[in-house]
Amino acid sequence: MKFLKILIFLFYFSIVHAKYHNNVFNEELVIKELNNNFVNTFFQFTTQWNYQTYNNDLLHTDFLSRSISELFLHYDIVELHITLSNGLWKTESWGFPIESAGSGGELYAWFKNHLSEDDIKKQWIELSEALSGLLCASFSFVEETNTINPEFSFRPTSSWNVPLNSSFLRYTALPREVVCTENLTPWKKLLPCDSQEGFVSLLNAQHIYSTNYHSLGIHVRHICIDQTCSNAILESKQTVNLVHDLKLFGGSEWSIRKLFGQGLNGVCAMSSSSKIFLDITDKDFEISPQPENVILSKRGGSESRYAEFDVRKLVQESKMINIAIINKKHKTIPITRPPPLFAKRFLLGTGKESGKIVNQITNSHYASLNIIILENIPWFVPIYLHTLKVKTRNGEIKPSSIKYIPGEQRKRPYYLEIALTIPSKTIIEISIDFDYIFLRWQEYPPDANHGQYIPAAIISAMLPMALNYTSAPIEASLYAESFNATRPSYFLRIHTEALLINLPTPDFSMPYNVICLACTVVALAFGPLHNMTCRILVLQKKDETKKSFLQRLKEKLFKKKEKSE
Amino acid sequence: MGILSNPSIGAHEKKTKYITIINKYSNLFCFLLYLIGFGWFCALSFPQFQSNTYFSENALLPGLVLSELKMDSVNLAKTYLNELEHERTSHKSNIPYPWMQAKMKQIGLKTYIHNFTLNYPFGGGKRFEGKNIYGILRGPRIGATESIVISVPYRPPNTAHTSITASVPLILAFADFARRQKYWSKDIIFLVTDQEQLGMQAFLEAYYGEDENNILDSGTLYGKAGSIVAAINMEIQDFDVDFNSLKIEGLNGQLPNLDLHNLVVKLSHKNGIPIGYKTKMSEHPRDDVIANFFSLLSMMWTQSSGVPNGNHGLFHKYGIEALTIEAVKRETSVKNNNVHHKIMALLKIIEGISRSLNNLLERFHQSFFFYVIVSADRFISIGDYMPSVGLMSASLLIKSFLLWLIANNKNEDDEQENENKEEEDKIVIVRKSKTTIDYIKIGTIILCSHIVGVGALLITTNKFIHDYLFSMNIPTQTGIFYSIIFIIAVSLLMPKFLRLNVIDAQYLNIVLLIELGTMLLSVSMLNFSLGFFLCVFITPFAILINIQENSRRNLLKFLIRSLIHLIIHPITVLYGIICLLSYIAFNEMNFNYIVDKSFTATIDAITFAVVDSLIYGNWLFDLTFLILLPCWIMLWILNFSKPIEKKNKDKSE
Repeated sequence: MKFLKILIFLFYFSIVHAKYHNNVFNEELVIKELNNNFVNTFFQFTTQWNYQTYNNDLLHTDFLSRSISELFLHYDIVELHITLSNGLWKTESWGFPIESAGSGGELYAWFKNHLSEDDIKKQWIELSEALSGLLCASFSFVEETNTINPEFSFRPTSSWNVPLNSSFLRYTALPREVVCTENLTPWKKLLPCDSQEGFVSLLNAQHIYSTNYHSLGIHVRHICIDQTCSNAILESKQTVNLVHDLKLFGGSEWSIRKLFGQGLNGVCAMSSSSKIFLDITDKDFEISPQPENVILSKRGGSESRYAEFDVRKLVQESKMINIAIINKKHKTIPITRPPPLFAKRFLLGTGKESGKIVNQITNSHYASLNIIILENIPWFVPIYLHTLKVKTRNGEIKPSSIKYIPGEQRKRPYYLEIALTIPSKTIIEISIDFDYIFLRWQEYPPDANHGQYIPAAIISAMLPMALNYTSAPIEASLYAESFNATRPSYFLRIHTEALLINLPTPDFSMPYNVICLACTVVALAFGPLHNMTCRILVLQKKDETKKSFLQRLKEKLFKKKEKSE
Repeated sequence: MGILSNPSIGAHEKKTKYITIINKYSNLFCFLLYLIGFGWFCALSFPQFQSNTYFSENALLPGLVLSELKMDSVNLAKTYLNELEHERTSHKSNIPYPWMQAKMKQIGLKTYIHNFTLNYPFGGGKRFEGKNIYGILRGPRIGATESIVISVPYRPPNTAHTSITASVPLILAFADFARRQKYWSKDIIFLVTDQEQLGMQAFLEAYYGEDENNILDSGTLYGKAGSIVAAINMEIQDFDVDFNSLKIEGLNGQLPNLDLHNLVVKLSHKNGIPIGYKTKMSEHPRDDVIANFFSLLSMMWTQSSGVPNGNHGLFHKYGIEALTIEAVKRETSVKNNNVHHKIMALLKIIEGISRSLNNLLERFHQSFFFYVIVSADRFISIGDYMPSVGLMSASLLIKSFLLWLIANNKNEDDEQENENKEEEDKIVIVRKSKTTIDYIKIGTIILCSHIVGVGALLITTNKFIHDYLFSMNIPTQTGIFYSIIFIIAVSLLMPKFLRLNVIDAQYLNIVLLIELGTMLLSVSMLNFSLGFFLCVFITPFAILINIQENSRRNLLKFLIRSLIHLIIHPITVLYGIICLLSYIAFNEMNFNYIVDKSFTATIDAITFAVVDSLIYGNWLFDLTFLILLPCWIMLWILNFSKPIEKKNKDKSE
């Protein structure tokens, strides 16, 4: 009996051990105070799964949600990125985000290289429909009319055995999407732990949706371990990026309990690590409880300090964990330095004839920066490439490269990618003209007078320094890997705001119909009136003697004959 | 339906009979139409013809939200006012920017300063500079795609206008409250403008990027907040408010959506501050027809000039619904120290408006954009007032049609007589007579008179001419005055070179009537008030033109007619109006003095009209020179048309 017990224990241990190696789950929470009384909290749940040990059977999942792995099985995806966000990350005042997302929904995926163009087209639509069901989001609106394959702005982050070019990439953005609880709940279900356990328990809908910015993300990719990619890891990163407004809490001191409505009640049992990193660079406040470890991260010329909390250890001390900022030195209004690169986007022009889309990009760095701007403009906003201008205060800049695929009405969006160099300490304005057009009456969305959205522009850059830069390196799986991760350059992607454009909208109401009717009547009356005024009047002298009926008939017949001749 | 029937059928004799009747009664008929139109307008002052205001847009949900304002906001407003009063002692002629910027930043708004420059068109490169200051409250529920504007014109202590110092503290106190709320789904721009309307125009131009205008260099805005849905402009004279007055008339007579007007009225009532239209505190009773009539006229008088009566008026051009709330202070010598509830009411009004606008999913598109307000809760919609203008201007079009019929018939008669002699039973084509009508000459006259109009516009608004005048050391007013004199001289001399005989004049008259009628109809569609006043004035004269009687023999008649023509010259009319207004305003003055002063006032008015047209895009000045003046010139030429006998003699020779 004892032997059996030992055997069972050994067996169990070996499974757990195997699981531990082939299935890794990590939870991380990064907290950073932003300028002007805002706090950024960033959750990252990383699941890594070496499916090789399961005979490449993607249906046999443990920690990773089967619904995600099934997508990879059915749609031959190498890499998948989904973000659903509400609000706007204000780069100018908040600095660079850890993970950038455009407002609304954003989706892009890399497909396997054995697929043909038509296959990808089909798989892409099917994939978006599946995701629409999976996340209760309106990805079912993804069509050929709003999909592009950008050439420069996106690179695969997977290590796949064959380099993939942009023809295997599909990108779309749905700026109209409103993100709410119905997206959060299915998102939580993709995690291995129940929503009551671990860091996920902090994500209460009520508190999340009273933040100034929130963004849900799912990023899944393949990581090949060997050359042929016969041994690969499927890695899923689920992220939540939140910005809390301390003004709403009435005071500049805060704690986890204040931000999320409750303390942290422990860790996910499946997790191999559960850590909280609190940015304490240049901050003069006290933390309760005291962090056991302070990480000094030197990265690309900038230094930052993080207080590290291992929640696994903290849990042993108390049931509820609350990290609080106390005794904050009351600073007056801080002078904030904007990050090296930020952008704004707006519409210019009056009237409903033509307008201008402008991206105003500021380089406040002391060296020039190379950037790529990606525009994905819907088909109902026809732009004119010849009006593309890149202006600075002193003159115009010539873009080093322009990639443009003109849109087609009701078929294809306008895709424009511009690569250029911004000189140091310069504001550039990239403007392009467009026309307002009429849509067919069924094409107006509900609440037509609200307007239509133009998705955000995406600005990508390789920064030479990591000043203000907080993202993890591309190859990293955990946020912790970003500490002391000095690289030759740092890849940055930021989104501008989306635009709301008011196309000429017919009045979908009773007076409109009345006007149409009245116009028809006027048009009917115009004919005779015109006839009356412009006609050549022919006067015929009346005959003195009245002709008999027969005579008249004869005359008529005779005339007709004459005519025919 | 007569219109739809074929007119070519019908005996000739019958036609002639009609023609004689038409000829006889056309003037009477047109006059009758004119009187009915006018009568229709007068009838609008009866309450039966007015409608009560109501909300079309359900999303506004006016006054349904529970106010969360506390007493601390009121105290904050008072503190801000005290601080601002202190700042004003050291900033006599400009905005206390450091104070305002610090407050906005403290509240937690993203604060920007907007510089603009006016290259004054008449100063030979004279420049005026101004600075707006604005703070953006970023709505947490939106990604900077939509916004509302709460604006305040700042008036420094040395201003000539009514002081509205309390406005800035009020909106700052509201901003502080609003910043602590999480429900904003639109960004709110708190804007303090410098230099009255100029600052607002510069802000809007910078926001929407109109770079063609080199007179107003609108500068750059470094912070924007998507498309602006609506704007509220506040002019708070004092916290001790007597009543709120609404200003709605915008540039070129554009009005805000009636729903916005109703919203403000409802919220003001709800919070216990009476609201009046046109600074009239006591609401006149519904049945007081005379009061209704004058209330109507007072709104239309403001609207007709096309000059906005507040900063709100400039928003309309950009499709933004906007109005001004003017809180008029109580006229008492005793200082009321207990103004807390008034401040609270004002704050609640702003809160209510902002929250209602915040609820809007769609832009304002329901309710009315064209209306006339009788009192704060009653209005007349476009469908009810258009018939009056329609009838009046239709009388011109109908008259032109009748003249066309008569003229055609006359030719027909003439030719028929001729042709009858030659060949009795021949079918004849009678529409045109090639010999009698000189189309080229008529065309030349139409073209020339319009060219004079365009020329006048170019002379008065051209930058090079202004610069030249400046370099010659001639003041702007004088320069413009001489240009106008020159234009008048040219227009008076036109008949010397271009004269028509009576038959051609008839055709010119038809063209003139069509042009006037079309112009009046279209103007009244855009700016009803202007269209109406023009109709009332122009139509009788236009109907009365009667060319047949025109002959030089009766010198007295001719002189009287010429005199009438001179009196209705646009410039003379302007002078007359100014005389009349100054006589009403300063009736204690000497008559000669008024006549003299009005003369300079007229020149000033023209100068201001030029400035308005150049900077703000007011089209009243352009309309006058492009259509009214050419029409007058044509009228003047008609007056000098040659009698028919002379023409016959020429022919016979």
